[in-house]
Formats: sequence, C-alpha cells, structure tokens
Amino acid sequence: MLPTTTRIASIFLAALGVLSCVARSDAETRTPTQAIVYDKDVAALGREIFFDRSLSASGKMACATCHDPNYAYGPPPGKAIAIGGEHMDRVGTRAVPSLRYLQTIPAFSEHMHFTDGDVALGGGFMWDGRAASLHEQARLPLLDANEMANPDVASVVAKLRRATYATQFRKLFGADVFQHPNEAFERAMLALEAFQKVPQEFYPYSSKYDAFLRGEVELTDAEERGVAVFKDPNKGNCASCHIPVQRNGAFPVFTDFDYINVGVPRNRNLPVNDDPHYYDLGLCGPKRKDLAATKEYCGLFRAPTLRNVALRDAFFHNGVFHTLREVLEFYAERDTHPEKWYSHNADGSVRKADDLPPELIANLNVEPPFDRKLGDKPPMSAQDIDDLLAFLQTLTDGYHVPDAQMARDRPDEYAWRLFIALSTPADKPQEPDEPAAWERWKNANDIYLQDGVDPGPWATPGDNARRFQILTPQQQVNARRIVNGTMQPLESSLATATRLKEMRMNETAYDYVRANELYNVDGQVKHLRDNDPIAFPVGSQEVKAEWTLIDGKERSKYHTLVLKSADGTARVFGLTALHVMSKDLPTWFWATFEHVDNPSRSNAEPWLLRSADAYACGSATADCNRAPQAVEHSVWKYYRLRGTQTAFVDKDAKPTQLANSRFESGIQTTASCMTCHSRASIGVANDKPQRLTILKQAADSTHPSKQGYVGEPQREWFYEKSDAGVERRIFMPLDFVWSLSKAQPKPMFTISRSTP
Amino acid sequence: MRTLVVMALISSLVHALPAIADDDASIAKTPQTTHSATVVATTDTTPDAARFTTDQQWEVAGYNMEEIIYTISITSHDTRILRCRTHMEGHYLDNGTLAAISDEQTSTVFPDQQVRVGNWTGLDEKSGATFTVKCKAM
Repeated sequence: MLPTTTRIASIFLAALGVLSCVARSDAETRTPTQAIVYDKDVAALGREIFFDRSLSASGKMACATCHDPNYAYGPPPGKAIAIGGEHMDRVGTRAVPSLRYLQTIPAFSEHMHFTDGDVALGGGFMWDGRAASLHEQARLPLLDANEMANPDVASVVAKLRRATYATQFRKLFGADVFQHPNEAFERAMLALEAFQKVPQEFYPYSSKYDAFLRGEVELTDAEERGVAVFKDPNKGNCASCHIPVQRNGAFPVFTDFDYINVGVPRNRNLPVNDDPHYYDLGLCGPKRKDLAATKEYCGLFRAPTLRNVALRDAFFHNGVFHTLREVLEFYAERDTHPEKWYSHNADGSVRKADDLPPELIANLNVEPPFDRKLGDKPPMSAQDIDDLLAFLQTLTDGYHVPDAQMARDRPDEYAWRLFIALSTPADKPQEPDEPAAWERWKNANDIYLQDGVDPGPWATPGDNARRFQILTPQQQVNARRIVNGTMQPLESSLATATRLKEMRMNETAYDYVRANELYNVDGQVKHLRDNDPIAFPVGSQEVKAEWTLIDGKERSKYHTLVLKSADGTARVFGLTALHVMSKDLPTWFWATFEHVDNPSRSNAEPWLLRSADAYACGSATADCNRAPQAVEHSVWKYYRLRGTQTAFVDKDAKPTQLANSRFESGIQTTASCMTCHSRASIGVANDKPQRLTILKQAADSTHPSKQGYVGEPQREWFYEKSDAGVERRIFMPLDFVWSLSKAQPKPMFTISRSTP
Repeated sequence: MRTLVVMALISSLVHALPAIADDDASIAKTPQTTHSATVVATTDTTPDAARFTTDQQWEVAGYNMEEIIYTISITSHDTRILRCRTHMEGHYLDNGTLAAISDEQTSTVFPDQQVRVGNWTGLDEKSGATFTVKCKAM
C-alpha cells in the first residue's frame, strides 16, 4: 500500500521546510536595479520558462522536452540524443544528462583540490565543463542550433515578452525589463537557475540508498554485495570517481566532478559520426574551445552523478550504450575483451578506443578496472555485475520506505507520518479549517445504511446531515444518562451536542467492504456461514475522530470544524482525538492522538497511560509531552501521540496497552486497541446476529463495571466445543474493523438453519 | 448471555408471552437476576386489562460501542393504544462508591407495536437493575 502515506507525508514535511526558510518576495516593489534574491516566485517563473516550448525556434521544444521530470530531469526513453533545430530535424551529438544533483558542482578548474589530496581537472557544467554555473548552462540549449535553435539572445527575449508569464516576469524584474534584452535574458537564466535549485525537484535525496544512509531501511544482500563491488579498488573501483560516502553531513552525489577518458566506443548511430574525421573530444572540443590545444585533455569528459542512472536508456557522453548492464560489462571487459566493444582496423585487428584519434590513445584511463590485459580475467564477474546493478537501482529517487517496515521498526515516527499524511491535503500545506485528507474518506454513516443497502461507488456523495450521529437511531429513543445523581435525557441533538464522533475508512477499505458486501449484516453472516475469512487488503485505513466544542479564542490551537445550525448559528469544534488503524501489518498498525489540552478539559479524565513517543522525545520510555519538529509550523504541534501498538504483548509476554482518554474514558488502564478490535465479529445465536462485546464485566464490584480486554485474543471467543470435544466456529472475526458492527440487516433478513 | 450483544432485530424476533391484566392497569416486574434478556408476563388477569409483554437487556452500544446501556422495551399485544409508566431502579458508581438511582418513563404503545421505553447509560451492570411497568388501555 501506501507508500502513499509516506509519500504524502514527505511532501508535507518538505513543504514545511521550504515554507519556513524561504522569505516572501515583495514583487510589487521590485525594480531591475534591486538585488534579485532567490525565492519561490522566481523559481516558479523559472518553472514556467523551463516547460515553455514557445521559447524554441520550432515552438516544439522546451527544456523539459529533453530534461523530463519523470526521468529525474534526464531524457525520456528513446530521447537521449535530442532532435531539435528550427524544423526539428537536427540530431544532437551528445546524450542529454540529468539536471539533478548539479547543485554542488563548482566552476571548472584545472587545479581542483580533491578530498584525497589530488589536484586535478574538475568541475563545470555540461559534459565538458564549459559552463561555469547553472544559469550559464541554461543559455546553451536555447542558442544551440541542434536544440532550441534561437539565433540570438534578442529572439529569446522576444519570445519571453509574448509568453503567458510575461506579466509575472515584469512584476519580478521590472516593468521595463524587456526593453533591455541582455538583462531580460540574464533574468530568465537566473529564474531557470532558481527553479533548478528547488530541492524537492532537483536534489530530493529520496533514493533507497538515502533511506539506507538515514538508517531507515536495510539493503538487500545483493545490494550490499553491489556496494562492495562498487567500492572495491580491484573490482569496480567505481567509488574512486563516483564518491558514495557522506562528507560533512552531506549525502553523496556520486561524482567527484573529475574528468576521465574511459575510451567509450564510437556511436555510429550519431549522424555526426558519419564523418570519419569527426571526434567529440570533450574538454578539447569541438563544443568547448578554450582547451583545444591541450591535447592531454582530449577525450576527457566529466564523471556524471550516478544518481538515477537506472532511469536512463543511453549512457556516456555519446549515448552509445543502452543498458546499464552493457555499461558495466564494458567496464569489466574493455581491456580483457576489447573485440566486444570496438570496431576493427582494415587488417582485422581491434581498434581500441575507436572514438579517439589514434594519436590520443595515451589519454585513455588505465586505472582499475581498466588495468587488465587482453585475455586476463575480467575484474568483475557476472555475479559482481548483477550485484552492482542491484546497488545502482538503489540510487533512483522516489523510494519510499515500506510502510510495514517503518510501522514495525519505528512505529512512533510512522504514526506521525501517517497522522500528517492523513491530516493534510495531499498537494499543499494545511490551511485553517480546511478538511483533512481523512475527512474526505467515507463516513461510516454513509456506508452502513438503513436496510443494508449498497452504499454505491466511492465517488457517491455522502450525506453531510448524517455525518455525526451520537447514537444509532434505535438508541436515540429515550436515551438517558446520569447527571448529578439523576437520570437526564441524553443530549442527542446536533444543535446542542458538545462532543461529536465519527468513523471513516479510506477507499481501499471501502472497496473491500463493498466487494464483499460487508456493509450489511447479511453479507457478514454469509462470511460466517461459508467460513470465508474477512481480510482487508494492505493499505486499508480507518480513523475514529472526536470533535469537541471549543471557545473561539482557542481556535488557533485546533484543527477545526464549523457547524452551522438551522438558525445560522455557527459553532466551532476542535479535533480532540484521533484513532488511526492502518493495514500495514497483518494485525494492523495502531496509533492514537490527542489534543494537548484534553486532560485539562472540564469533566475530563487525566491521561492514565503515559504518552510514549520516541519520535518526538527521542525515547520510548519517558512520558512524552511534545510534538515532533516536523509539525512545529502547523496546528498539529498541539497534538500528541499517546502511543502506538503493533503487537498484543511485549517481548516479556506482558499485554500491551493503548488508550485515548476521550474514547477509552473509564477503561484507560484496561484498554488495548488491538485486543478490543480483535473482538470485532459476527456470530449467530437463536436466529439473531450477534457480536462479541467490546467490554467485559469487572471481576468484582469494587472495580468499575467497564473493563477492556487486553493481551492475545482467545480461541474460545470464536469457537465453542461440543461435549464430544468438536470445535465449532461461533463468531467470525471482522479483521479488527469494529465499524462493521454498525451494519444493518436487509429488510428480509433470515438466517439459515444450517448456520454453523 | 452477558457476552452477547443482541442486535437491532431483537424486537421482531422476540417470542413474547401474552399478558394477563387486571381492571386498572397491567403490571410487569423484573426478577432480581437481570443479566439476561427476560420476558416477563404481567400479573393482571382481568378481561379488559392491557395485553403486553416486556423485555429488558444490557447492551454494549453507542456510537463507539463503548457504552453499557440498559434497555426496557414493551410490546403491545392489544388492539388498543396503551399508556405505560415504567419505573427503573439501578446503581451506578459515583467516584468508586456504589449509589442507587431510579428513573421513570411514560410511553405510549400502539397496537401490536413495540417501544423502547428507556435506554439508560452509566448504570452498573453487575449490581443489576429492576423495573416495573404499568400499562393502561386508552
């Protein structure tokens, strides 16, 4: 399931971070003479420019045409060698690189100091380092005849002037900016650079390897072996250029920006290579001009990042290889079996490094793994290559720690991620009073309808009028409760209620309920009769929420809901408690949250179980009264994780407990979400549908009469034995989903006498 | 059994005993053992007495299935409208101390219909509850 959960949470967390560190622009007052600072408005403009095809001479090519966000801002399949130009008929000469993880590249230098003490060539943008910065790099494709093919800066600016975002451009850079083409062009490049520095887009560090470095996930055996091959100086030796370790706390970008000549075979599919005298020599031309005379630099190209390398289908500067396996085999066998990779001379001999002029063959790198001789054993075996491939797959962004693993290993952190994901709209930070994601789920009152009718597809609108039902209809009649020693009518009117509760389930769970007709008693009994176990799919989620009438002054501390009465009176309710159950584990994952002020409410119970939250407090043992840093800029900082539950008993076989002072009032010290929900069931006795109870009678009258169940579920709850010792199922578990007990029977409900 | 929660269908599935009534009003009383659903006949045997049966039950119910609710229902077996007064006596725990509490409810029961005259929350089930129902034909 839900990688969704962690994905949405990650977006939210990232958004919080961004919003907290980026100053708002004052665009209205900015003039061209004012300093332009990086901010989200400039970055947003950069995004517009990046995706704008009208900026090309053909009108068909944008930056994003070749740098596709779906492929880590690298080329989409089959498009590694760009086809552009004014008439979209000119084929490029180099493979499109990814624009991700360029943020730390220094400007080119012939004397770059490397961390291992070396001083050598390094840095710069493009394959040959000829651009000193991102904004310098950005101008090159716009003016390249094979790409966007603008003849000059002025023609680009003329297009910018006509663009749909021209008004925004003027707002940011001055009303007269387009009257100064060079300045306007530079501003456009600056905007592109700002966009290319948006962390979530261009350096998200969201690969499995990043998760591994964060200690969130383990690598598989193959991946671990791959890391070893990657680092082994006598095997892959990849790590000598593609640095895989953290430095000064920064995650690796898998390149040291070094230059190397690995002797990439000539790509005969490039039209430019039809000319036998044409050689792409990287640092010494033909695209780069300033180092043409420095022959020892010829054939050197900058080592690219290996992040997202598995998303590519063309490798090296000329895109000659189309699978990562081919690349690795080339590394392993360039020198041991050169005939596999290179063309042949007229005399039949292998022309090694055939994309280099013969006189420059000395520039070829001969460090491991290129230190073998013809016929030697390759430095990497087939197994090594398989393992290396497995490892390189871990460098692809967009990995999500499996929810089950996080739920099991770091339940408190997972609970918060779940809470944030469910509490926040998926695509933007929370706005005041905006419904949380879970508030768009199906309300139990819209699922379990009168006469057990089918509630319809997920998209069927709910009936807001029945969002809150304090008691079920048959219980609303003459409901009475004890107030100050006397029996009083139970307040059941929404107009006067001070506490409201609701249960909701997500689409995965809902679809299962519908597919199995669990929305009515008849369907549930059928499962019992057919001995057909109920098992919600992974990804199913359900919440139970409590809303409490709050003072308007408290509003900023709550996720709120405003209910309007028929007379127009508005009453503000704050979310005070939220139970979450998520089918990440076979027995679900359980977490409960409360508003920090709950214990101090009038007539409220104190928190009788400690709040265990290792994520917010760094320890699972201390009583935690803190929210994690991740929510400190939102209303959720006023909420507390009371605890999580993933097992019925702890390692000492002691029953685990979890209680919410609002939902488990009166039974906090005997509450276990898991055990209680394990009793969600359907049975039949005396022709009547039955449920196991939630609560049990106290052992003696000195204790409150209400007590919860804790510990492992008991087999005898669900089976009875005949005198002959034969077991018979009497209750079918409902896979922990208590809301199913709200199901109503069909009008003509009958129970077969053959019911077991 | 205490451990079984009887569902909403109970009203239609209960096999009630016919009531016997006196001149004025029919009376039904619960036995002291209150932990199971019980149908109690009235003691009135006069021909014009209201004809009804009663039932009482402890349920775990409520929106979150976390409330213990004591319920009494009256089922009319009469062709006339009945006017019934129900007196309930039970106990509750007031800060750990058992305290007595009572309540009265008046209800109208239409011919051959059933009503729940009360759904009482907060009572101590273990201590039990008793009730009397008096019905008069209108």
